[in-house]
Amino acid sequence: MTEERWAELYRVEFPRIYRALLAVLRDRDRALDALHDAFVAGLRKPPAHDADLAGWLFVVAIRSTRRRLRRLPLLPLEWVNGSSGDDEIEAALDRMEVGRLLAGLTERQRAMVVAQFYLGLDHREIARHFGVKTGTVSATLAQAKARMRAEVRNAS
Amino acid sequence: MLPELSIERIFHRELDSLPLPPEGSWIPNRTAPRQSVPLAALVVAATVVLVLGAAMTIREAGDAAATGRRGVTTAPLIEVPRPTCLRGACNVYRSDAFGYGIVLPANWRVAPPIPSRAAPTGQLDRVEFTSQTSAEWIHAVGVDLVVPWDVVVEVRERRGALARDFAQGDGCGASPCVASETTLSQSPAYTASWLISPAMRMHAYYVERADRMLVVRYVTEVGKEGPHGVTERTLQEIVDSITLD
Repeated sequence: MTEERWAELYRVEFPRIYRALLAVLRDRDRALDALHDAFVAGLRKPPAHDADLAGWLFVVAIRSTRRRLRRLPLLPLEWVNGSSGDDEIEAALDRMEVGRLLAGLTERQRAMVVAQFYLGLDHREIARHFGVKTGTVSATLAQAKARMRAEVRNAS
Repeated sequence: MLPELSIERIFHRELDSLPLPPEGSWIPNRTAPRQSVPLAALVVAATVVLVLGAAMTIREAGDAAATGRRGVTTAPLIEVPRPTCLRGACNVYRSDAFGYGIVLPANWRVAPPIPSRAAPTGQLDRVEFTSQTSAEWIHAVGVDLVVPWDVVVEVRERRGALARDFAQGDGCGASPCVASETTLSQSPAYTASWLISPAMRMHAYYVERADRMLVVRYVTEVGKEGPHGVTERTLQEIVDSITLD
């Protein structure tokens, strides 16, 4: 794939993947950095099929944020646990129903929930991109949905 | 209950309303011009970078050996094709010898030592961090030996002096100076800011550490932005990222 073609495909997917990353990471800078990492990774080795692009970009970006956190033994703790995140986006998400639903989930659960309900990936696709078994995806999503249901019950 | 279809609708309705960054920032800056640079220029540039890198490494090794400085390690300070990544963080510089670490944006690096400059009395260590390329940095004019928009971390002998004494020695008070108490990495710090010329302002932080003083300084140009999109906020975030052992 040429660089031009890759950039073109990336631009088409950018809005959706960026917003999915915002929902998971709750921080504009981290989301943009992660997506930049995924773009650069795709320049080196793009996904095998264009149809996989959304899931591929999303998971590569999520992985890049984890790699960065692991590389940062000197970061103040609040950076790592995200409490010094992006106030504006956090406030926007907190005002939203989706923000409240995702707030009680772990980052992994959030990523899989967003992959399913926003990016439209099925369990098999999520498993392939995240490098886990389909059963693991089903179990993770079942736990996440149970928590979301509890959140809805508490809210009502 | 929470039907899956309704979850999907909520996700699309709400997440699709989140604002996007300006389209110009979607693709990392440095990847775009790459295709228009001729291969020969790339080869020359890579060679220059390698030679400069090797020279800096040899020089730093020599300096470390000469001053007995040990254990200064630098986590990958490479130029990554990304405009900035302070929150996600990229470059981490750590000085085990002087017990501090600092997180830099991706395109920042350690500036080469100034060959003709002798270390002032009492200065134990000095590291300058810059966003500028080697060619730009060589041409930059440093006021009081701090290149505008760079961040300099120094370790000096205290000899019983207080943070405010160091600030006054550096120029706070000679011209109107704004000073206050703050914290860096949860340690008390004295911060001062003063004009060093009508167009330039010095910002300095002093942390008393037993018999040593850690000094972090940067110079901003009044009413301007720095090179490569560096702003005062960038510099402030770098200062705030400092961790002290």
